[in-house]
Amino acid sequence: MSRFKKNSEEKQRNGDRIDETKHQNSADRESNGGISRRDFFKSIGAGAAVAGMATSCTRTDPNEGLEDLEGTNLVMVIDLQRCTGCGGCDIACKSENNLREGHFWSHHITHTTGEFPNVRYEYLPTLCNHCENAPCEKACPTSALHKVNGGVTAHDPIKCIGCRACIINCPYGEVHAHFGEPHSEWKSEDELIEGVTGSPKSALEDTGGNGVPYYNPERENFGEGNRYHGIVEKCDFCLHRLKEKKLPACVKRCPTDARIFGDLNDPNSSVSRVLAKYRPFRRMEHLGTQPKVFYVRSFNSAADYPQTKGELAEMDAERIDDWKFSDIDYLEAEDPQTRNIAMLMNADRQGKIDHSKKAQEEQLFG
Amino acid sequence: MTETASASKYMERTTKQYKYALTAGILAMIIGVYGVFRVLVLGDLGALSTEVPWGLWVGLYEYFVLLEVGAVLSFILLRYGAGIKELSNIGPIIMLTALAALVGALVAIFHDLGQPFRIWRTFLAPDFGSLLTWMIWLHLGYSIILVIELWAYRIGRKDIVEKMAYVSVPFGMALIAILGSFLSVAAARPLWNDLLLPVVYLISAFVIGSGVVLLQYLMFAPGRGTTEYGMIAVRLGRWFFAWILFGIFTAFTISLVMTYADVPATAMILKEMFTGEFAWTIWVFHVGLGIGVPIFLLLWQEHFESLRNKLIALGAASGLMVANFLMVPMNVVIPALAFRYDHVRDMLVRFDYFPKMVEWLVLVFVAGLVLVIFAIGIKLVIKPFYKATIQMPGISAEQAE
Ligand code: SF4
Ligand code: SF4
Repeated sequence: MSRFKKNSEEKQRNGDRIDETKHQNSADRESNGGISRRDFFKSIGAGAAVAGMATSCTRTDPNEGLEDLEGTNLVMVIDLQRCTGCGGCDIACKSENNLREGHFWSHHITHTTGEFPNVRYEYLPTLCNHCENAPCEKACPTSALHKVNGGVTAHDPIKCIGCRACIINCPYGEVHAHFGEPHSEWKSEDELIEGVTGSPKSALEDTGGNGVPYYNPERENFGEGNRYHGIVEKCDFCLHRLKEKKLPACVKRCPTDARIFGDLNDPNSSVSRVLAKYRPFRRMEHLGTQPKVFYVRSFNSAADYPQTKGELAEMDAERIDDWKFSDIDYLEAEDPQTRNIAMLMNADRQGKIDHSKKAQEEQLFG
Repeated sequence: MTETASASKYMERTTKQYKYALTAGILAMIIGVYGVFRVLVLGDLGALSTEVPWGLWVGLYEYFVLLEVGAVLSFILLRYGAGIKELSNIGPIIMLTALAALVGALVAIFHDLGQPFRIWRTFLAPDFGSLLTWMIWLHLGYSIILVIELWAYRIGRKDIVEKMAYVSVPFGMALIAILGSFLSVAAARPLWNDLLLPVVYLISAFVIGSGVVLLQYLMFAPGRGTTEYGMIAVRLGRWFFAWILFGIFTAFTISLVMTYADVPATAMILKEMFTGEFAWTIWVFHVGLGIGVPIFLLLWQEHFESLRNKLIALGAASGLMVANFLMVPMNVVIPALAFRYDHVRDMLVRFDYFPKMVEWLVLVFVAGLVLVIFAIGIKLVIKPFYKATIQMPGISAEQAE
């Protein structure tokens, strides 16, 4: 049983509910740089105000609402052979977190080596690695970047002074600066095709979104719904969803179950079992940041498979026999390539590691 | 103080310097205030971006820190270490220069913050695990030391002056160490990581510091026109020259070490710095005007017969070096951010950054503010100090302190 599950049960026994109140009281929130200045000017000149500031520095419990994650070590494993490079995770993340133009908390790196047919194309989905030894967190002078239960690197917008030391120190480019008004592009009245399409502004008016045509208010459940000028932002494994016992949006929306999320402290979790089975790699491991996003089964990796020369290699069922696939059956298909894939799936059907979303949710949330 | 120095002439000159500094400072502030408005009210952070999150303002900040610490350390080394008593008279000027530079550093970095009015958090809820917090707190301590030092000069307390001078040394060294480490510990930036910046910055501080001591001596020390004054200036020139050579040696050897193994994450960035689109900033300002011309002047003046010409050459050399030294932190900060070596794609990725008008305007404003603070300091500290020490003809430097 995962620790998250155990904690949940204990809480329920104690008659507690998971606190679903917002991470910060909205009245405390500074919706843009201007208000913070006003607050500042209001506070100076009076000793009481200084005391108030001091109190506001310590009042927020960073783990508020995340009590059930205590003792867990949340990690993500990305199976590169399952990943089709569809970018669904990137889009899901953008809509889930109301990300502004140009910002991607979930992104990817692509790289092509060689010429067809001896070509190798790599697609590496990327996101904040929630490093155990996080340089961004160490560099932050105000603890705006901090660790919360589960080992997640979270960001508190209220504490952020916008020094950008975290951006400088993150080796992966996973912290993003906010300059100017977010989503201002949606205020444009320029029609995309004159007389044919509407303008961004009209789209916004039609949908009634909060700065963006689609606004997800659930994001307000942890931090800000829309980040504002001067601060930074980054992936937080969808803490607002974890509070509600939901998997991160990128995991939930991945059509091929390539993203596996769970507690590494639970030996029976899918992530623990997959990592025990397959040799993983992490980004820039030599830096000692101890990333918590692992990659397994490098696509077309010479270490795992013979040179493919543009065709599917002879499959080694041993390697994949306990790997879960969907239930499509093309074993009798005429096309040998399809049969090969079906063979993989079939082998997997006897699978021992169930890493379906349902299984992940079950393991983590009970 | 020399016997020939005319107190009233000297005071007249100081008054003129006060007026020039104040006028130039106010003018610069008026020119730059629009930039300040754009940053603080409209949130315009110029050309800064997620990719190049630090630029001109951080470079300017580092420049002022090198100056504020370098000037004090060099002065103390010369005055108390080498025992050059004749330098006592420029003690308050050096401390004032350092304090003005310190304010310049803090104001420059204040503009760089995305949420500058939350700076109080670093005092009321600091995270001492961050080197940035240490930098802020050390600055606070250093500014207190400088203020006490100036106050002691004003009231003529020699004992406090000397004690605070010694206290300022570890503070200054710590400030430089943190300034360098803050960048060097970033494993994400191999260029800074390899540069061993705490040591490089300490040497840089002495290079610019010895230039500042020479420049301020030439501009503010009483006794101008006397042989003694000229002799000290020439000695300071040689000391300055030695530090420039030491700086060149350091930069040269570190660059060789960094490029020898041809590790792309550093070698490619250095190559880009020296041959790329903005290489002219290094060759023209940093190497040419900041090092080449001063070295030439320093060597050339040794052959001059006329003391006056010698002093002009020394002044030009120190002035050029101190002004162009701005390019040192700029070339440390910006290329490491504008170029990133992508290990996956095995290529150098370049991000565009060239300071926008708003950034230059803030720079002009900050420079103006530094001058205004300097001018106010002349009025509040320097003039009372000299009034007390050179009123009577014949008073010596030793007695002045
Ligand atoms: S990937 Fe970057 S932002 Fe995420 S925890 Fe590591 S250092 Fe911090
Ligand atoms: S920008 Fe914000 S989160 Fe990043 S280091 Fe500065 S205060 Fe911390």
